[in-house]
Amino acid sequence: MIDWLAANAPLLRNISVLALLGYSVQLALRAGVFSFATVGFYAIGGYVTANLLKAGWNWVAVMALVIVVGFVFALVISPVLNRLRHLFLAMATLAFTLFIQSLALSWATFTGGAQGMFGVRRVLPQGAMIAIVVVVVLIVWLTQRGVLGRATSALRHDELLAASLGVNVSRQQTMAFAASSGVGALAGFVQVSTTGVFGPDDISFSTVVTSLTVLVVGGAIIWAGPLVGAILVGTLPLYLVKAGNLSLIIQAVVVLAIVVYQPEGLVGIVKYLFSIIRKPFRKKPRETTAGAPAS
Amino acid sequence: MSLLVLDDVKVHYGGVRAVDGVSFSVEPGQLCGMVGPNGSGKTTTINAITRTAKLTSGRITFDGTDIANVPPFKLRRIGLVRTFQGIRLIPDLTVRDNIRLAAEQHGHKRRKSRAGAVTPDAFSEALIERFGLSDVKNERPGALPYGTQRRVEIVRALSTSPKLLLLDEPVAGMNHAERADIANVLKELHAEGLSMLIIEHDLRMLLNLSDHLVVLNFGKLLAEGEPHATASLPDVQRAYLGGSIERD
Repeated sequence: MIDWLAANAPLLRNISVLALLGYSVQLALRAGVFSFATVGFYAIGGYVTANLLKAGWNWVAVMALVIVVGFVFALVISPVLNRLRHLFLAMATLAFTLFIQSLALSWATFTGGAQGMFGVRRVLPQGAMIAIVVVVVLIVWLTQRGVLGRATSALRHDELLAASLGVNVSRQQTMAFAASSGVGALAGFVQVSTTGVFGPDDISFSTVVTSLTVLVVGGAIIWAGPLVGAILVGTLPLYLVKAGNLSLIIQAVVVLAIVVYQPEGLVGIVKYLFSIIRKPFRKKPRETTAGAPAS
Repeated sequence: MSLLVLDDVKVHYGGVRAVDGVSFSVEPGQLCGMVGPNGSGKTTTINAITRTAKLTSGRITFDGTDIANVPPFKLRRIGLVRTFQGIRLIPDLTVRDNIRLAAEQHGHKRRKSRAGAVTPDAFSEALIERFGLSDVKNERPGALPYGTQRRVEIVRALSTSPKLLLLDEPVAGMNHAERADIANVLKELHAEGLSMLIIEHDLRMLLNLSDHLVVLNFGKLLAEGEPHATASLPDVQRAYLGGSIERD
């Protein structure tokens, strides 16, 4: 097992970062906030980590600080985002990510400019990296259950209804966005502290697309979705190496097929299969009233 | 003291006067019916009360509190809860979770409630049992008949222990059996002293249930008072049975 983990370290690192990016997007999306800001916070987390590790900080302190920075930064910009909805909100968060990308290129003393940061200490043990992902998955799983889970479901489906039932829409969405940003920054920490490098290529638009792909492929709303999506998106290219130039086309076809035929993602397929198996054993509800609406 | 008071309430959208100077009140324990032709401003009035429509002018007080500065999500806390014209249940959640969602927002450390339960879970279960939803409590709303979905909506609103329940066309689109079913639920709640303001096109049902009737037309208050007497007024008959009434 240990040998396998050591031999597949790059793959596991890639899957871990992809999963964290996916969870970052999902945390906001589940509360009805369609945010592209994940990669912006990924960049903030990455560059802050690189600078602090170079300055000799302990990685645990760096990790804690990076999460707090992402969280607080999100709280600072959330009053503006709270005024926006749907497409306008998505565009505003995309603009934020593009702004951070531009800043990364121009603020060379902090980011290394176009060359990026390199030679950073690779301090994060593999076990700790896996533990970070497990903890995030557990937190997401817990927040999808109980009081918070039901309230976020209401928020996602119907803000007006949620408010009428007493859900503080603005506060819940702000906290979801802040948590999403904290996890996005954490992904940046994991990337830098395991590879030792971070630059503009890591925060390009393709990273935005990849983080969304992870979510769509795995399952946008279900807690296991980003993890399953990260495993597929992370490993698929390895199995398609022999396909050469066709590999990107095959990946695109796989993603397209899932989006069209299974919008709930791969986890949705598993849920569907389970529901078929359980169907014969379920008690049928008694109809208390009959008929459909007349209009 | 009246529970709900609307004082010269106006909601204008540009040149459209959706609600234009409406004043009436709902007393504690009263079941107040609100009728009027399509476009007469009934739903906009409820939207104004629940702060989803912005007041152009006027004042609305609930239980002595001016609601102008109360955020919509805090209205539930002061005891004002509504249902919507179209069914709005959360499709991801089971019937039980839809109801628990509302009960939970009411707070975990609930004092002894009407159902005699303490926690939101127990309170929800008691309501589910009482309103005959036990057999479907683990179902998703989409799998249920229309009338049952409406019943779930009403029970969900009740799980917040409201002082005033605003119902926007609770029997719209239902067949006769479903209407009778919901009417019985409303009658039962009224008998227990719950205050309600109900918008409904089914005038016969409102005449049977309500003890006060408000009639709107073209955004204005056309008449109000004892239900049968109000419904018999010539202006109300003309407005409601298709006659035309000139706008002021």
